[in-house]
Amino acid sequence: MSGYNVRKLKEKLFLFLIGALTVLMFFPLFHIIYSVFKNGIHVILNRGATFITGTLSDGGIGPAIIGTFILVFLASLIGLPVAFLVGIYAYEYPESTLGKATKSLLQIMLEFPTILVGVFVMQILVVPMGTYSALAGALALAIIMMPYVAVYTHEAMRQIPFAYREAAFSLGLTRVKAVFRVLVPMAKRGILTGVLIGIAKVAGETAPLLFTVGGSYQTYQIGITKPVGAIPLLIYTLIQSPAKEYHEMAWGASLILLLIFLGIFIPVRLSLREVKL
Amino acid sequence: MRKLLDLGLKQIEKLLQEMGSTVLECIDSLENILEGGSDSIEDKSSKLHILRDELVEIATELLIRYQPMASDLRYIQASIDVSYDLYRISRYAMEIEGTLKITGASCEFEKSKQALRIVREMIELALRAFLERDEVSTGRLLELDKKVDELYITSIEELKEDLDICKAVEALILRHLERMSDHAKYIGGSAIYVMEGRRI
Amino acid sequence: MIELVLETKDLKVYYGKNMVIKDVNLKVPKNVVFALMGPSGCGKSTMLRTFNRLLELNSEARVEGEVRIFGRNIYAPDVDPIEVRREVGMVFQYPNPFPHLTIYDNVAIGLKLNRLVRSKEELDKRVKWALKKAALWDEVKDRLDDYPSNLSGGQRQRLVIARTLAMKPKILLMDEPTANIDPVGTKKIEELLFELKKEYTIILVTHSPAQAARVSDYVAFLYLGELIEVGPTKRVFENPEHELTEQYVTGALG
Repeated sequence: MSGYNVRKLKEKLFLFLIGALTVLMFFPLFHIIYSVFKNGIHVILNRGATFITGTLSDGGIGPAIIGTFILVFLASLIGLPVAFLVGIYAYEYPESTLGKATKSLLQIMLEFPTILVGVFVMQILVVPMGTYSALAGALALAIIMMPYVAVYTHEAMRQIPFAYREAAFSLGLTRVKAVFRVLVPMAKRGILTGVLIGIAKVAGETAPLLFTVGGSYQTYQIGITKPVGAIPLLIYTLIQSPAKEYHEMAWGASLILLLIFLGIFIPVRLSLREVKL
Repeated sequence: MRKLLDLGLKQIEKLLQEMGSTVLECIDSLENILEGGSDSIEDKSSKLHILRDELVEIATELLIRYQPMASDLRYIQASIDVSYDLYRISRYAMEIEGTLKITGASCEFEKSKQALRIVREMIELALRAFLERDEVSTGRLLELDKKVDELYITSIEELKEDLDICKAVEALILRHLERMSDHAKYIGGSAIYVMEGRRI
Repeated sequence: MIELVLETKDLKVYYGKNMVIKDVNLKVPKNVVFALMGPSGCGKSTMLRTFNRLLELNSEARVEGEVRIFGRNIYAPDVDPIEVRREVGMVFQYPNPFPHLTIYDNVAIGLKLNRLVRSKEELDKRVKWALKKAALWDEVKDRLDDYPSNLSGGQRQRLVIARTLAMKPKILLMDEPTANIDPVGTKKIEELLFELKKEYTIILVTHSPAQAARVSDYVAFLYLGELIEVGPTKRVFENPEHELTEQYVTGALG
């Protein structure tokens, strides 16, 4: 065989190998989605609306769903304003020591072990309060959500062409007005993306909730200083029990969680294809 | 920007019209002087000098600002030439006046009067050809120029015979009139350049 | 004594250690179009941005010397750059109307956020006035709530001009305003300058000596940060005093 043909063959082999490895890498993702759907769909279909609205004794995961929404809502309330302002600060003052530190610190926070966040909040909130609470869970989730929102905000602002910054300032606007009334609205798509990604992430977090929320699945209690449930935490609890019925519920809950996650994530990703500035 | 260029071109046209009528006044004065009267052409010639400078200033500014093309460019270039021709005509008229004054000659000057009439007609034709873009006149200008040339040559030939002061002075006058008719012819040529883009 | 609208005294600009504007002394009279011309990268845009202190958006730039507007040094320590920018409007090289605002809002935003008008009617009037002054009203009067993305390049630039004029500045700075616009749009904007200079003083940076020759009353030639020559346009282009100027206007310089 000529040298050229040998090389062609090697190339084809290599490409095949890479293709196979790629498929292999994404295999678990598709398998998870597939098995969650397969195992979860008939649980939901069998139990119908009760599954979504009923309490644990009724065989439903209603309190967990409400709990997840409460936690995400509170976490957003706490985390979004702070993260947004931090992102803006890093954009406006990139040269300051705090500004430079912010960027590195945000990177660390993004990757920080979430269970440690839970432990931290347990120490400062759960122990002094003497009870698990939605507040504690929300705080933990907020700490995890904030770096996402801050980084996305910062990036979205950085992507605004300098020409618009010049235009805003050339009109004699103060810094506050130029940034918040002209530039931020321009970046709103990017910022919103960050917010939604943050929400999607924390809606499915389990470790930070382990020592903070306590879990509440028999009743619908709404109170920020009281324990609350959450879907991922419920799945964790249900799987550990020996009852087969609980395992089935776990599959059903998993499907609900997956649907919530994809329901946020897919539209966000799709909308990014639209034309921006 | 077209508007401003047009404004400039109009200014040039106005200046040429004024120069033209001033030149014709010079011719009137010359006629008067040849009949024995007295007149002053020098002031008119100075005025023409000033008008020409003004025209050249405007023309230069138009060239700087607007990079004119085609007929605009030809018009501007030609107007600079025509303003020179008109000025020279007045200078020659002034020379004739000077010659007559200095020599103090008092003669019939028939040939001169005849040539002067032709020169007047030529100037009027040339101005019309340029300012009104009238083509027909330019042919006639060549004819009339020939006539003036003939008169001039004749006056020189007559010097071979008996030389008297009138003949000598007339020859000098006709020399200047011949130059005046040439300049009038050049104005006609400029008119052709503007209208047809060719130089003759 | 000609009234001077803007004057620089030994103006220097540094980018880090680099001196990019070297001791420039300029005098700009009232109600003229004053052109700054020179090869690219010679500092014209930088210098323009010292006139409204917009250079401060660049953290590496340092300004020394004085820029006097109506006799007052705008770099004095007690001068608020925000005030300066309300008196001096700017139009940029790339038409930059805010894309997320309607045509109406683009013109109105400076007025609204600076609280320069007291009622909606006054705002409407001012917006209409500004668009008329920028020769854009007739083209957009039926679609004020449309977005700038639906306008041509030349129209967008006139929208930017309207946005600036709405603030009623005394001086208009224009940084190569027609560099990215088609010839027809360029012609419209150049014609607009003749109208605008009756009421405003316009300082125009241009990359094209031909444009400076067409529209300006005075022209300054900048080369590598130095002011080489300045004077009435006709004189500078007919008979430049400096060798470099001659090379530049005859196309012998880059």
